[in-house]
Amino acid sequence: MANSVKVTTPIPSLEEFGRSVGLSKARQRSLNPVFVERRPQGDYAVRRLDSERASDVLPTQREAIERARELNPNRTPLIERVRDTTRGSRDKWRKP
Amino acid sequence: MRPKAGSVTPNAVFLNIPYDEGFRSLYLAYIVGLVHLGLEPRATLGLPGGTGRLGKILSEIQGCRYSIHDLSRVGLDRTPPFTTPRFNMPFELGLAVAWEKLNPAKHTKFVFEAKAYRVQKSLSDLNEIDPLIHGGQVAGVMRELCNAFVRQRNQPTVPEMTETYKNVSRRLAKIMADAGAKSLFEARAFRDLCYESKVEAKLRSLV
Repeated sequence: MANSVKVTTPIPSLEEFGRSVGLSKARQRSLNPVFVERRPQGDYAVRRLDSERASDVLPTQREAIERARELNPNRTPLIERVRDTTRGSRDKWRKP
Repeated sequence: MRPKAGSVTPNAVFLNIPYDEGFRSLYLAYIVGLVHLGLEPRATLGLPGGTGRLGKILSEIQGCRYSIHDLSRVGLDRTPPFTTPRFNMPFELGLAVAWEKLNPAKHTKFVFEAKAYRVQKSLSDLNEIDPLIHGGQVAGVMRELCNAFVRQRNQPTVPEMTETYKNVSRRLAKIMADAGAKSLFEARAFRDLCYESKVEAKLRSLV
């Protein structure tokens, strides 16, 4: 019996995986976190996990967080850190 | 979407494990570990009982490229009304052994155990097999999953899996509440757990 196998199949995307385990698109959306990211222009993009385009762009982080909560009330949004603090650096997401 | 009857899903793994609260942490470890490895856990949760169940279990095994059989609960189950050993896991292993023997290119099974050399005593017909020993530990399950399934690229590490395990563990109460489930061993909770693990694994690669 094999005690180890080489897995060569591609890793499924989040959407493929969700479909494969039998989750509806609505359920997948409710489980996906929403991100708030600062854009180079200085405004804030609200983006779903695995999406290319922003769901919304708002001038302030506060408004963007509120929009993220509206988009998925089921899950705390993840916010891009825009300052270095003692609790975490910019490469870490924070919770509002 | 499930594949058509007779086809094998190349990254699906049939999980033959005990469904009881004492096994909860290892159940979660299997799900998180497999999802991190880019595989898709499948279980018999949600299959109706009674006639036809056995056929459905067999077709689930046949639809999965791999299967994992955890024989760590070979002791007596003292839940009333009877004190009995649990035969479900060795029985389903037997189905997988037969399927693999008949179709070696379509199926590969792995036997997991908590204790070394115990399978040689409890199921000596399987003496040709070296079980993967997890020691009853979450990290042990993840280590042995990494030993069993090797990816040339994007092979996750045990600490990455452990981090995902911790994050998913924090969301268990929410998952159960959303599913209206009394236990994690219910079909909807299982699906949500798999997806949550995938989301968390995805987040690990983002941050």
